[in-house]
Amino acid sequence: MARPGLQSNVALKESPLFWPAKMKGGVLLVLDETLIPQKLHYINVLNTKQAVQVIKAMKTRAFGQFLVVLNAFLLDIGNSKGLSDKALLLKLESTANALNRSRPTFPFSEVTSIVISWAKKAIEEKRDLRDYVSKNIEGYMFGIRQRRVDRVRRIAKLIKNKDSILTHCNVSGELAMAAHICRQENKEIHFFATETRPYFQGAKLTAWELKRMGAKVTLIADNAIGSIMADGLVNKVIVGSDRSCANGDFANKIGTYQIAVLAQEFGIPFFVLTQPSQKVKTGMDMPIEVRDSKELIYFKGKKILKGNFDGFYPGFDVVGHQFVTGAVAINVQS
Amino acid sequence: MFNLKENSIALLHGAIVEEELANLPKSLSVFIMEGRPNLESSEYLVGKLAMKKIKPVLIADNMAGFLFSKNLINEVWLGCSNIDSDGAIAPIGSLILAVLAFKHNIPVKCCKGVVSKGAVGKQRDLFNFKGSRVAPLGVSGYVPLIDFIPSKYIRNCYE
Repeated sequence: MARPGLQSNVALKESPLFWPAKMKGGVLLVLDETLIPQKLHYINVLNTKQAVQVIKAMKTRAFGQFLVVLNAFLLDIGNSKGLSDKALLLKLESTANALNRSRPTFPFSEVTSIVISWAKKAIEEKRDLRDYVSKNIEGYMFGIRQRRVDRVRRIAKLIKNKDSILTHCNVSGELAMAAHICRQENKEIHFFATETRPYFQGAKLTAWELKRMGAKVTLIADNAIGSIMADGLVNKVIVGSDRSCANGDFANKIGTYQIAVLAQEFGIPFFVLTQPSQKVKTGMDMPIEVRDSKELIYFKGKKILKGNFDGFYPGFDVVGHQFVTGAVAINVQS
Repeated sequence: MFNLKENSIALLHGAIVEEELANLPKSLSVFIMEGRPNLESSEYLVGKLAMKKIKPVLIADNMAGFLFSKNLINEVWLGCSNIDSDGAIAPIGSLILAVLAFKHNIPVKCCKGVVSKGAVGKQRDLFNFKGSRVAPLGVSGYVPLIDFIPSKYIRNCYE
């Protein structure tokens, strides 16, 4: 059977952000994205509580969270010596519930429910539960990896010679890897990366990995997108998505909506990387996480301004499908 | 957490002069944009609004769209200079607010304000935040400090 993602002759160069969590010796190693670009450091995650913590604290985000979710079940299985199948199923269900609650905007339940269904099936069919669930999780991750590699190649095809692309936040390695392919194909391209307050994912992650891949990248403040669009400095927008709706609406890092509106106003094509899902009908049904305002108004323990003020930190925007020129989709369901 | 109602927010950006701030509707919550790279806009407004006993709510420069998309904004106030029939000069980020307001049918008030004389700022101001480096070494930065707001986006500009 042909493996997707291997049609092109261009070798892939992988970003550390593409696959930022992996099991090693029974321990889940999770790349601490908050320390990039200063250092590449992996956090040891040993159990569900720690898995939830790295997700809630945004030590890992976007695709990294899904890897943590899947591997959390492998940790449970690894730590299940002496447990009956029934007891292990209860443990897996408890893990699923904890992960589902960790960040409301993300569709973790779409993945955790699959894992629980495997566990129940193993019990019903009197299979070795540990072996069956582990192999299914590993096979699932292998399949996602192949699909993501395939999407990287499709992103590279979308990017044309002389493109100047605006991007926002970070898309977990895919754009940087696509940029590398474009470079191998001798396409001259340039990226504008918004810094993406308050966590600076655009500055710390996207600008960093694009630079590492040899791409030309210019950092801008989030408030400069209007200026560069009005001045004709960009001709394409490519962003990721954290959750997709059945009608093509999607949720992504805060700041995406205003980019979409201005891109439409200035006639700039707007592309989004999606993970299609039928679970949420439209953007109106999407739960949006509002984070602690301290994450906005404090930086390294100090208030960012003097004086008396409050803060408000919605974590995500919902963007209507009417703003989307094209979606580069990946199926993570099967 | 705020009890945010539709059309309940006045969104301010730029160094709006004091006599203009005196006209802020008391019924509205006042939100202000952070104003990267140097946060001058928000620092100025926090101080001036405190004199009027107003405690504003700070948002990052990428959060305005969210407020518009939820129909929370009642009006936008921009601290501008060189206002004429063609448009106005305002601090960077103002064009985003003007286009969002235009698309959402929200009035924009062009107020008298103090706007940066320089059009482009220093890269190091973008690469750092409150004294700490946030950008990787070796990347370029582009730091426009002002926006030109064409008059087409200034629906209800009043003196």
